[in-house]
Amino acid sequence: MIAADVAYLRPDTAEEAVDAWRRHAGARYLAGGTEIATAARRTAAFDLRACIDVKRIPEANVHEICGGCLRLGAALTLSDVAEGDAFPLLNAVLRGIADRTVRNRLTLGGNLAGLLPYREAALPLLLADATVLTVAPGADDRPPVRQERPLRAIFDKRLVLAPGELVLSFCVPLEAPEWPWSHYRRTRTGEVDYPLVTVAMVHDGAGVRFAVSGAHPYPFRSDAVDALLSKDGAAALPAVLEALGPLRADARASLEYRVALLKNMIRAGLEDLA
Amino acid sequence: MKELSGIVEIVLRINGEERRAAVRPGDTLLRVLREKLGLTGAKCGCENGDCGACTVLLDGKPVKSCMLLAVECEDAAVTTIEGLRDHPVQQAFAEENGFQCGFCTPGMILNAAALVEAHPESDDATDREWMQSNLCRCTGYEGIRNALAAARRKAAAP
Repeated sequence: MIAADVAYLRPDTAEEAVDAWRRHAGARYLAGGTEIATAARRTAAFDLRACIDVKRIPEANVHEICGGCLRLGAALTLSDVAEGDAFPLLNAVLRGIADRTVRNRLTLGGNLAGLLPYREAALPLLLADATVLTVAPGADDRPPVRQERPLRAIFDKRLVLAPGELVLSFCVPLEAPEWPWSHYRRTRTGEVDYPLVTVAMVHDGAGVRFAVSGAHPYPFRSDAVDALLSKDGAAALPAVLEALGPLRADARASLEYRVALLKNMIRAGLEDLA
Repeated sequence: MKELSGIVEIVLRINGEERRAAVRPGDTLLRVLREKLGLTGAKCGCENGDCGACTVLLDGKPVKSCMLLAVECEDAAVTTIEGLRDHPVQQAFAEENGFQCGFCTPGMILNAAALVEAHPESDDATDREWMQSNLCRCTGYEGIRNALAAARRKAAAP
């Protein structure tokens, strides 16, 4: 139960959604609601005065191949996406997130835009150089603004969005799902747990692309690491670790353990791609 | 655009019946089922999406009712354990002692019923992946596993 009195709004279009956000201070977009419902129940510090339910906006539910890309609506549940066969790496990564009944609600957009740091669904999308379609409130009384931008351009540890900006869909170039891929994920307890380290890699024909989450408290991909692994393979591991910067150490896993996991996963991933 | 605030009356389709309830938009489906509609089969465990004791079926898919708002469920078909009524999976849990204290059992049965419906053929990996959504603090997993196998046999029987 959420103790605070909240308003509930269910827009039919993206423009209605951003208009509702502008009219309601303290509003949050609600899709799967898995994070909002639990965070708002746990603490009054989670400011929630209105929920704007974006699940029924048609553009946020697209799941189609169109115009040379695979377009995935941000309001699709992880289960819906993972049951498709269009992007095997994405499916493999999504099946590791939470458990099935949570994945029946948790959405693709929610995983990337949520508060939890891992945001593993971002890994395949970053590797694929996906783009993201958003709609944001216009300045002053101007109409809402739609933009399609490279995900990497607006992803710095998390999605960097303007106030009130709503993610509608992601667009994956059709060649990306065809690339050889590798995915490794290790948790502290059972399979349903946050990742200590999760690594996704592809070979795009020209070189290796590498993305990781858990090792840092955010997903990470960099051209420098891709270049090192493409040029020198496993021999580049010391340089890769240096390029990754300080890794996470906490009660769930020591720094040394995470480094060991990371090295093993990268070696295994390179073998998978060879 | 639909806008709700304060206390509002909503209509939910639960176990094939239309049920009306006065709710606040912030009320979770779990709380509305238990406190407004007297359907106490869905259990209030962690209220954090971890334990699965509150599992219900929403349009046939198992979901955790502590993590969704009741107002989101208008127009959807909600099935609680009260709606299964001597389902083969329930029978199998009873016959195979697929429970100990019983607190997790409604959620387990609903998830298992959805699993058997979606995957009538036995597949250990799929079974594990689905049933990981529900925790049994009595650790009675072997009985639950046996019940699931028995439910499949019942479903396959002519």
